[in-house]
Parts: sequence; structure tokens; C-alpha cells
Amino acid sequence: MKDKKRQILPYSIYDYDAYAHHFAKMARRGWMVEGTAPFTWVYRRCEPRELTFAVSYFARASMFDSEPGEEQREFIAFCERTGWRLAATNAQMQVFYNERPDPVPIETDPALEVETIHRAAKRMYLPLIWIMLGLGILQLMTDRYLDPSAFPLTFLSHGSTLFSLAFKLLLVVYTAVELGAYFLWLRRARRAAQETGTMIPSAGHRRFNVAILMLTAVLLISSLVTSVLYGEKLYGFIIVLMLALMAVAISISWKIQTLMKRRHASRTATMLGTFGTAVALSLAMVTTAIFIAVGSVSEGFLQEDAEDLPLTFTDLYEGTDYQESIRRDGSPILTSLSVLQYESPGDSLDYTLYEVKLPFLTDPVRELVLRKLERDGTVDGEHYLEADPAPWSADRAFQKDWQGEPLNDWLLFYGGRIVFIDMDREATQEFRNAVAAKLGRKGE
Amino acid sequence: MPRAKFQTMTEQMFYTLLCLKSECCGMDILDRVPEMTGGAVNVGSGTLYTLLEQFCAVGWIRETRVEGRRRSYILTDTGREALAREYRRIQAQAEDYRRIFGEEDQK
Repeated sequence: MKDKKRQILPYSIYDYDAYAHHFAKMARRGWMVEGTAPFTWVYRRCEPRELTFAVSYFARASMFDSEPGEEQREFIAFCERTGWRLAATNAQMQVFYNERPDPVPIETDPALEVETIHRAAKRMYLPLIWIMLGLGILQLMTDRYLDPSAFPLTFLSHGSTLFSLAFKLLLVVYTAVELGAYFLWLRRARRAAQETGTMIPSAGHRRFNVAILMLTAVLLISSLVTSVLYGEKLYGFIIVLMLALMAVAISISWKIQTLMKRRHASRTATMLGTFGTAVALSLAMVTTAIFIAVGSVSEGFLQEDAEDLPLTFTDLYEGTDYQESIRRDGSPILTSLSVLQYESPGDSLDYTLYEVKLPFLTDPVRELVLRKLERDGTVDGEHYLEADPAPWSADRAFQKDWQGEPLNDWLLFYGGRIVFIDMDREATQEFRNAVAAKLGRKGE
Repeated sequence: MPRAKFQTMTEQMFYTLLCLKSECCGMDILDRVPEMTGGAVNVGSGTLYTLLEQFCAVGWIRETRVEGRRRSYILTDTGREALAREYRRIQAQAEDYRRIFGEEDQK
């Protein structure tokens, strides 16, 4: 029978009521909270007991302390005097329990209590959330796929970029809500303490936190499934690799921190040791991931398969001694296949085939492409002019034109398929038929 | 905005200061206040810890002795003045009450 248990609690750090109720419920079930581990609270088995729990905050405490400092010990001694015994700490959060049936609360002055919580929040919780929000916004602002000049289909067809954008958005939304809710609670709590001398219940957006946790898990699983389904093997491989290495890095940093605390290292030394290890391991992690990914590519492990290409060099030309570059990307919205096969010197085949996965998005995606090309045309002078689609058996056809001179580059719409094809020479009807047959509508 | 610091005192502030008329260990105040008020006023341990820190910071009390984790404090002259000011405020309120309801209460 297991004597230890871990739980992720989706409560904000200032949600003291939720923590106290939960720890009391766990004690009734025979689990006493005893500390924390990365992202989790740790419990040990105990006799089921009816206990009162309270969460208090001690601003001068730190998660890097090997043991409580003198002032914190004095604070704990004060609490012990009224029957409150320390069960666990998490940085500034101090979890106490009391065996008496109706104990005097640890905090009996609402105005002081609010300020004590705020002082503790300013030490670590608020700076951390502000930093996370700042990083999230910075990442969104510098996302090259959100750059208006980026081609929209590249973005929509990359599951990796779509999911990484979703993760960044999630981070920004989570941190913004967390901060907003905290400051709203602080304002209300201060007002209630001043005007009515009461402490309002701790703010809870527990359902939101649970939703964020679940959404993160769903996004992670979806991004892995997408990478397998739509051919972004390298991306899926990197996600799995990074997750595994991150788990190792967190585990090692935590062990270093625990070891330093056990050896009674100073707060600063433990902090430097923990952060130093985390930074060093993160760098090592990224380097290892790059090396393994590059190694896998060069070994052919993640090589794109050329066998099931819809249209190949040999379908159009005589030669067989050609070089090629193939790239497949995909998302639940759009898949893309870019193929370049060429003889040097000699002929070349260069096309990109996009396929809209959700039929109701076909028209909006087509519209998006046309608008983008029109905008680009006003900048670089290259326009796609509508041409007769009949020779291509397409719904619509557009030919690239540069300063009034038609080029051999075409954009073709076949139902949910969008084809960009570039050629070195003028397309013969035989060539057009081959394109229509191989890249046109599925099953036609 | 929180209450302007110590402009008016809560019962807990008042009785904490009252306990420190003579030298007293901080922790003992936790028992003395309910004793003094017949259980009508209790000071939480966290609240008392914060109050003692803040009273020291504004100079209303001073630390007299440290024995392990037991620190003793005593009221300073400034603290005594603050306490007297609060007493006068409460007294004025009581007198106002008596002026309005005094005769009825005596019936």
C-alpha cells in the first residue's frame, strides 16, 4: 500500500480557502499534506482525522531556505501557542493544522491579513506571473507567422506553428487572467476589510485553472497526433524529446535543490545552484535536441518519403537522374506538400499542393490566398492574373505576370486543393493534363 | 486603499498595547487578551506577530529581552500617547452615546 501521494492542485496561490478545505478533506480521508515537489503537493498516509487547516503567508520565507529562519521560527512558535502546527510550506505559503475543534484563526484582522498576503505575493508570485506574461506577449509579437507579410497558408498548414501559437496564447490568457483576478480580489478584499472589517472569501477561478490545465494537455496530445497524422515527423519527434529532457532537467534541478537544503546551504547558494543547474540543463537540453534531430535527419530516420508523391519528375520528363527536396506539413485545417525535383542542368518540377481539410473553409482559404497575392503584387510588381481554367481542368486558374510579361508560374484551384506550380518552360497541354490528373481533385 | 495606518485602532491593536503597559513576552499576549476581555477579544497568532512588528517599526513598543524565540516588549511613551488618544476617542464616543441615550438607559 502506498504511503505517499501527490496531487496537482489547480488553485491560485492566494486561494487560501480552497487550499485549507482541500487539505482538511484529505486529512479526513487519511492523507496529511507534508510538502511540495515540482508542480505537486505531497501527502503521507495518516489516521483519518478531523482537522482544521489554515493557510498563512510569511513574506520573508523562501523556497530556497534549508530550514525556517529565526523570524519564521518565531512566527511558527506564535502559531503553535494557539494550537496551530506547521504541516507544509511552499515558499511564502505556510500550511497549518489545528486539532482543536474551534480554534482562534491565525489571522483575526482582515486589513492586516490582506496586506500580509499582498506582501508575500510581491516577493515571488507576482514577479513570476508578470515575467511569464511579458515573455508570452514578446513571443506573440515576434512570431514570424503572425507577421502580416508571412504567407497565410504556410502558417495554417503547419500544425507545429498553429499549436505553438495556441500555447503562447494560452500562456498570455492564463497569466493575464491570473493577474487580473488577483488585483480584483485585492481591491475587493481591501475595501471589505476597510468598510466592513470582514475578510472576503479567497478568490477562486479554479474552473478556469482546471480548464487551462486540460487545454494544455489536449493541445499537447493534439500536436503530437497532428505531427503523426500530417507528416510533421520532425516536429513530433522534437516535442517528445523536449518533454523527456525537460522532465529530466526539472527532476535534476529539484534534486540539487533538495540536496543543498539538506546540507544547510545558504538561501543564495541554493538559489544560484538551482537556477544555475536549470539554465545549464536547459542549454544542454536544447543542444541535445538539435543534435539528435539533425542526426536523425542526416541518418535518414526522418527522411520524407518520396514514394507516394502525386506528381513526379518522371511523370513529365524523360530523365531519372534528378535531385529532390520534399517537405510535408499539416494541421487539422490544411496540409501542404512542397516538391522540388530537378536535373542539373536540365528540367525541373517545382510545386506546392495545399489541401483544405475542412470543406467549409475552402472558400475563405482561397479568398485569403488571393488577397495576400494581390497585396504582394502591389509591392513587388508580380501579379497573378486570372486565366482560362479549362486547359487545366481547374475551377480557377491564375498566371503570374511581371510588368506585363506572363511567367510560367501558375496558381490553380481544384475544389479544396490549391496548387502553385512553377515551370522553366511553357506548359504543354500534355503537361496540363498531367497536373490536372495528378494534382487536381481527389478521385477525379 | 487600506485603513490609514493606526489612525484608529482595532480592538486587537488596543488590547495588545494595553497588555504591554508592563514588560510582556509577545507570545503571552495571545493568552492575556482573552483573559483581560473575558474571551470577547481574541488575537490570532499571525495577526499578533504582524502587529508587534509594526508597533516596533512605528516606535509604539520596544523590544526589551530575547530568550530563544521569546521576545519581550514594553510600551514606549509614544505608544502610551497613542493608546491615550485612542482611549479619549472611545470615551468621546461613549459620552456621545450617554448624552443621547443616557436618560433612557437609566429608566
